[in-house]
Amino acid sequence: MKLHRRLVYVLLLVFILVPMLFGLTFKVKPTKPVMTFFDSVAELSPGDYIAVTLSFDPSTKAELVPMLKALTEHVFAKGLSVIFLNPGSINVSDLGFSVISDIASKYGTIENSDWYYLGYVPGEKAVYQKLGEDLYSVYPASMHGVKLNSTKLYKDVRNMEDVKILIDLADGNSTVDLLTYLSTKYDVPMAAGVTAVMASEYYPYLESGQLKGLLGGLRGAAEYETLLNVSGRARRGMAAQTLAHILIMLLVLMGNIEYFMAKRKNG
Amino acid sequence: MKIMAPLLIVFIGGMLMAFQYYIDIPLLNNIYKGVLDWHMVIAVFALVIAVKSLIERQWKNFRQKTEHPVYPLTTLISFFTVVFLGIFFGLKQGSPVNFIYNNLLVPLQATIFSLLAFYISSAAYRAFRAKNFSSTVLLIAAMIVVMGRIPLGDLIATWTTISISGKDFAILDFPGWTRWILTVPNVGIKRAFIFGITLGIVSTSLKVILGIERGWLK
Repeated sequence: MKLHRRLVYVLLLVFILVPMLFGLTFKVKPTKPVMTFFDSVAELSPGDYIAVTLSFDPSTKAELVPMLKALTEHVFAKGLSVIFLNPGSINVSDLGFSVISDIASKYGTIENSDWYYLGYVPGEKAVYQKLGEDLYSVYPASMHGVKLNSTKLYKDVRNMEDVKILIDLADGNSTVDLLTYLSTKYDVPMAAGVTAVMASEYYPYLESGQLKGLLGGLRGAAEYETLLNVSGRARRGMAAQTLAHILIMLLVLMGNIEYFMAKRKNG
Repeated sequence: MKIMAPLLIVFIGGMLMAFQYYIDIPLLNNIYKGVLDWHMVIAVFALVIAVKSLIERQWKNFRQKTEHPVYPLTTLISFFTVVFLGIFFGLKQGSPVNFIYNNLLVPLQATIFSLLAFYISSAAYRAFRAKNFSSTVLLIAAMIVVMGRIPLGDLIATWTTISISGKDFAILDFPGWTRWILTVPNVGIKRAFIFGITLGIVSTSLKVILGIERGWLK
């Protein structure tokens, strides 16, 4: 018996909706790449500067916004000074800013004092290289027009060599570009959070030590939440993802049983 | 001269940028910084060209009365509406553009991307078959990684853990197998790809810089 395509869609919808409606959660065991990512942030002291580049589009918000939320909670709770910027994607400016400002209000951190949102400038690879030379020649002002030479950031940070770690949250090639043009050349430690489908691409950089840690997809965000001891969207989403994965495995199994039965029947 | 001038510019520019990376000379560093500034300025001009190209293409599609003229018309109306609202009402939080972004662009992009899950599940059922040795290896590896990336994989590993001479050993260690697949065969193959691609880029760049490859002049 062949399953109709529409039945497969309905089954998947049910497998995703049920755990979300009933608030099912599973325990997620943190893996080494996530633990090293977490430790790279956890070992910093209050007041240290870190840079977070948002290099994704709203299309991948389901995977990357939970990462951004967990990371922002961590850095604000630790009292780190954070430079947020999105030179790799024009579309994420408002989404990123609203997520960060919501968490900032929870921790009472102040924009342009404890954290900075620099936004988008065109040029991508040239921008990455300029960030290693002079931050203010690329970003003379914040996304909302506040001149950076009147802020504390201007006194403390000249370029990306002055930040303790650069973290890229990405759904494209920006992590490799940042590693090539910024991290390696200017000796800036780097970690990344990427979509699940891209995570395997970055294991060579993780194994070589060029990446200090890696968050892969919703699972990576859920592991980070586990280490932070918070129950956020990623951990809740993992239940839906678990059931969806089980369904896909069952579908593959059924498809193969049908295939071998048909092959046997046809000789 | 028409051929020599661009070849000379590429040769000098390419050599300067290559040497600049390895040799710390203030003059070369200043040239490098200047080139980066030019690059960013050119990127801004590229945006202008992209906008011109978008308008021309969509207008042409609309005028030619294609099967679905509503698509180019929607693109043009959306484009000019956002530009108009952006210029006259700004881009700050609470502005009309911000409203459109939060209530149209974000949910639309997220929805379209999420639909992939449905296509993947249907394709997995219809096409992911163990037809030969290679596809069987791929299928087994995929199933292990899928299992190893969900909490159920962790649970199965815990349930099937036995103690052999004081050491814990999971019989169905999906997370461990996943880790091995990702850090051993995956890394080895990816490294080979990366080295191969990089050597290709270096040789092509050298050909262009030295004027051996001149296809870009046409």
